Amino acid sequence: MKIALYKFLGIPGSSSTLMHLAHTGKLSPFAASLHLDEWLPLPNPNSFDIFVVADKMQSYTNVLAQLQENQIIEKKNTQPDEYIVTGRQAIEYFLQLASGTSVDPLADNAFEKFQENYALANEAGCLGPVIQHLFQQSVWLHEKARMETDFFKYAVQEQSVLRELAQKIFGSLQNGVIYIAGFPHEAENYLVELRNHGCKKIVTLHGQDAMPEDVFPQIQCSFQQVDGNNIRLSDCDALLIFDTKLSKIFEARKLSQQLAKRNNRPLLVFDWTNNLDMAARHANLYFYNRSDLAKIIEHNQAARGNAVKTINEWINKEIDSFHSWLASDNRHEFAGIIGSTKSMQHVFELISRIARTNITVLIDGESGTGKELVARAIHRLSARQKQEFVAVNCGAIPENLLESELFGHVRGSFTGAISDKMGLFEFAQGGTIFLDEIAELAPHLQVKLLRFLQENEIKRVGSNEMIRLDVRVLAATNKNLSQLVNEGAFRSDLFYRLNVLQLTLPTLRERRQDIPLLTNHFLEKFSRKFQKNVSAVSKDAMDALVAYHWPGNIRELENAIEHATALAIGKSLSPYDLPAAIIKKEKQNGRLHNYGKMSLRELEKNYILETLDEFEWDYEFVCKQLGIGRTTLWRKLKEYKISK
Amino acid sequence: MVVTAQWLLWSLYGIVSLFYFRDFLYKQSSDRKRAQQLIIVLLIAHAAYILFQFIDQQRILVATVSEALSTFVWLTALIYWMLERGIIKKQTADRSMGAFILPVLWILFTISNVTYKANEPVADVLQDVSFEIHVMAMLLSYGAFAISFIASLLHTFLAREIKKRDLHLFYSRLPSLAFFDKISNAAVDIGLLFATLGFVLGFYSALEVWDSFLLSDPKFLVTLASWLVYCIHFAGRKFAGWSGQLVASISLAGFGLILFSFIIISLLFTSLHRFI
Repeated sequence: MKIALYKFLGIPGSSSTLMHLAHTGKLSPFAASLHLDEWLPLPNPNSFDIFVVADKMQSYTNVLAQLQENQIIEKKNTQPDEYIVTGRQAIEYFLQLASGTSVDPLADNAFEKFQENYALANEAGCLGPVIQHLFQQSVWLHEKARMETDFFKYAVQEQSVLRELAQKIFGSLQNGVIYIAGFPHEAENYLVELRNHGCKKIVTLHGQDAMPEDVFPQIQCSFQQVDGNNIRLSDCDALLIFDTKLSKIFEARKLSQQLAKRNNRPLLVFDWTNNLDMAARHANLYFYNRSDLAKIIEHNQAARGNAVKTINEWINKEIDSFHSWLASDNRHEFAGIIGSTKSMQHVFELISRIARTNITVLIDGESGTGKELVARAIHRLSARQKQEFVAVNCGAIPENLLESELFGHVRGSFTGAISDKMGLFEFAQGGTIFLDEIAELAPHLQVKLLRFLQENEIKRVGSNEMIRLDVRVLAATNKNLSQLVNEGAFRSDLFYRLNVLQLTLPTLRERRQDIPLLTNHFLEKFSRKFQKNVSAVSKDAMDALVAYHWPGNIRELENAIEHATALAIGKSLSPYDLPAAIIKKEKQNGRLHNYGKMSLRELEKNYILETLDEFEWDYEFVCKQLGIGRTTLWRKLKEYKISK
Repeated sequence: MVVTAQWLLWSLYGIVSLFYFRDFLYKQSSDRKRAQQLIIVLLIAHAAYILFQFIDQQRILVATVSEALSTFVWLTALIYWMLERGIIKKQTADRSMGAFILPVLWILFTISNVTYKANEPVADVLQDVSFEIHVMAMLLSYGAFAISFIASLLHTFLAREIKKRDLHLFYSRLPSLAFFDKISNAAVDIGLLFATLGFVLGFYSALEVWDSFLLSDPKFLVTLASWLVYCIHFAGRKFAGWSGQLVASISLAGFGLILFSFIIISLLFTSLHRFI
């Protein structure tokens, strides 16, 4: 498996073309022709990068030719500058780019751009487990850098430096009026940045020549014509000068006179053309040109130094962990959880995103979907990893014991309390507490938990002393909590406190593609446990496993495989080794009951639709499930006019 | 007992200053929270002290330098706290102004404690009610002007860094120029109100106590000049839309005059206002 980054510097790309290509289906022939397993196109304003994962490295000319052949990039007469980065360096580049921690000046705006391109490529099906894994690592790195370093506190783009200066002068930009003279497309970046921070009124100044129309597609602005000395700056807070022709009007002397007239209020003047020179003669005038911004950026970049050093160390560690992940042959594993479907990749991404924050998470999913595994993964990826992880099943402990179990008690608080006892919350100090089956929590304990979530304080049973604790709470439930709230069985205030972020785990039925992966994982585990040499699952057995509706989800699958491995004779699992329920129910998934009375055609159409949804339009699995060939499926899709 | 209470208050001012300063340097929310809690404790404790003295001595504590300073410190802290609650809280979580105001108050309180003499004789003139209110009003206005002064000073420092493209501590730690503008203006409004009230009462008690009119008193003249400066500050803002560095400079000039009247004139000239 090789990883490489191809950079075509002279070829401009744009994500809109990528979107277009994704919709017209031009991306997959390209990948097939070059034998790429996974690839991520990164079109930039001045270059076209492709990040590829493949067994065999391709030469430049080959990649370029194929890109042009497939009309992904235009054919140009001039040869682009190109270079290729491979191995560790390519991974480093990816992690820096995707986590927004690149210090490369070429990588301006790169972070947002990357997120956009990644989402498009994901949609278009270009990505696979390797790139997804790298992306999840990057998301996690980004959060870590954001929380634990000053890296993102220093502005290093011209527009953000200018916006920061404006904020330091005017405070809120909410009522700011921006005048802009000249309209090169570079100006739009500045306007977008200012608008995103509250500026509402933007006035475009133009000369006597034609009135500009739609100069900034993303920005709403009004227009004002300028001739001679006639510029009214009375209501202006910031003046951005982008045009050399127009800047004649803003000749330093004339402008100075204008400014002297309105010296009573602060005014920010930014000269993008570097032509004007206005010394800070006026008390309320704040004048900058482009090279001033460059100086500030240089200063900020130097200030980032320490953070960069730390982050680079993290990135090196992440590269090592990526390599060991790659070598482990367990490509579909993420922090101990196995999954390859889109729904699971989404879960992994969410985990990476929230692990570093101290946010309370409500994990929700049917029983056996792996809620505790997710909680453990969050703990493992958080800054609390070295502290305790305490898992409590609120449904398993009798109500009267649970309170002292969770919060502790003092001696003599009830019969049998012969000494002081520390609660699990205190035990988890600095770490994470995982409260499973939170819906089973008794009302008076809900109050106590709410109090902890609000004040971070608990009280031992029988004690009046409040104890301050720093514990992250993760809760899980297999019930519909909002319904319980409506019924009055669960406190609504606690529900909203817990439900800051809800992470819903898909059932095994919704991710059948993962069944073979999980089966093999469990098979390996139990053959080791039983010291057997079972290494494969027969086709019939696997079909039965995939077809079964798994009410008990992954836990049921695990038990089924344990059962089967224990019974298995020889090297592979046969259907007869599986628990009887699975084979018996192979053909009746219990889903057809809902159809009521309908024609056979309707029934067939509905069933095909449902199966397609279930397998996320993965035709291989759909055909297997329906027991028909690919061509038959195509014919039926056409017949019933089914399309994605 | 009085001395002990004074030094206790002194150490409380020191602790509050410390927390505000720590917040300015490290931007830790825990320091900020502590500072905000402690300043309330401080204000109540100091108010209790003043009330106790009032009951004990049957007069407001404004007759000696030490007393007036102590009351001034309390009033300034009170105005700052009210501004913090009223204006700052709505705009930003930033409390960096406190890091510059409270240490100054702490130093003034130190002077008050050092110069304190038990049972200093107090002239009858200074025990008149209208006179006491005059002094209180003046002290309040000075407190407000002092806050405006510090806000304008910070405004000037920050504006300098922004202008010179030399972005250091002030740029990274202080809120915006507009913020200091707002604080300074609000403080000047309060100050001007009480200064005017103080002047009226001052005339009244002066006419009662002294026969001669006070126009020849240098201290009175300088204070009147500073009052006029603040009037310009107010009028310029209200009617000509002045803001930013312009008004900050006027505020600096106004307080400069006040300081001048306090320090230089008290040292060099003999004034009828000898008691401060």
